[in-house]
Amino acid sequence: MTYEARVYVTLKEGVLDPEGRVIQERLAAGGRPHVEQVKTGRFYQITVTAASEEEARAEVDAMCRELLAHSVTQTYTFTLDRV
Amino acid sequence: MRIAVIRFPGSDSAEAIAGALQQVSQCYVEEVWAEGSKSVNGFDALILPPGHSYGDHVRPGALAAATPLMAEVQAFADQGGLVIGFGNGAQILCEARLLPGAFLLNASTRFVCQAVSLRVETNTSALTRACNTGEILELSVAHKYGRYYVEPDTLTQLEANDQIVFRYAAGQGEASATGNPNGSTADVAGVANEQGNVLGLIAHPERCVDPALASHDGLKVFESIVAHLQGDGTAGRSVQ
Repeated sequence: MTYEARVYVTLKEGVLDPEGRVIQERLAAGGRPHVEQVKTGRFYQITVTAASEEEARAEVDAMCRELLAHSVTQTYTFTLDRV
Repeated sequence: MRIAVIRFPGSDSAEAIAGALQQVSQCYVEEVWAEGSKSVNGFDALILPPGHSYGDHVRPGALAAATPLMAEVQAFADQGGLVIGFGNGAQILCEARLLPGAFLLNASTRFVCQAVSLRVETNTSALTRACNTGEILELSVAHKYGRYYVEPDTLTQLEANDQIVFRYAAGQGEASATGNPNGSTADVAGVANEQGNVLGLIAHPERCVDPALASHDGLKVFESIVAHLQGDGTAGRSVQ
């Protein structure tokens, strides 16, 4: 079966996100002063084949831990849908 | 003395590193192509060069860290072998978890290419044996992802274990134009693992070796590596 994972990788709380800070500052300066914070991250859309949803979930989780997110600085979440 | 420089797709400066090593010693330097090589056996030290391995995709160094050859590098390090990374090589070592911490986008969000003054924090490491503790080396940096980050607990351990090898000399603990060029935690520019046999330096000693340039302090880094290897071959910090 084929599954599609949508993975979101973001910086952990407390890790400076200078790109997010610049975007927030520019939004505020451009007339959106109510934007308090912007956090940036990465999005991955991954299609995998697996025997079950459980297997697909384990596979995507392993990819996140081993490559897509660095355990010191980043955290991740993902959704999984059968396609 | 046999030293391998491991070249990944997108690596650069392998020739400069080989040239610098041969400028200070008679050592044999071989370039090892990461995609075609299955082993790193037979070498006394491995050096991971700067550059943009695999296009810096995911995070700089992340895809290189995931290659099969890096599992061999890990095994080499686990047996006490000397492994060194400069620039992107240091990023690869953090991504491979061979070094603590990680490198992040510079606090300025900009690529920085400039001279930096680095203070030698310990002269018992394989990168600083030919230096005095407290000595200032004038080197250069060129990176966009050079902000070294470690959690506070890890930083405490690094300091207690003498694992911080270089700091930005004029740093005040945060990003500044003249001191810390990227916002690295505690001004750290170079770090070692607990055993002292894996070391990473975000700066480029290989670019500061020509006497015709304003600084050739990089030679001291290469002299240190050679002096370390000519010692008893154990981890730098265990040899006084």
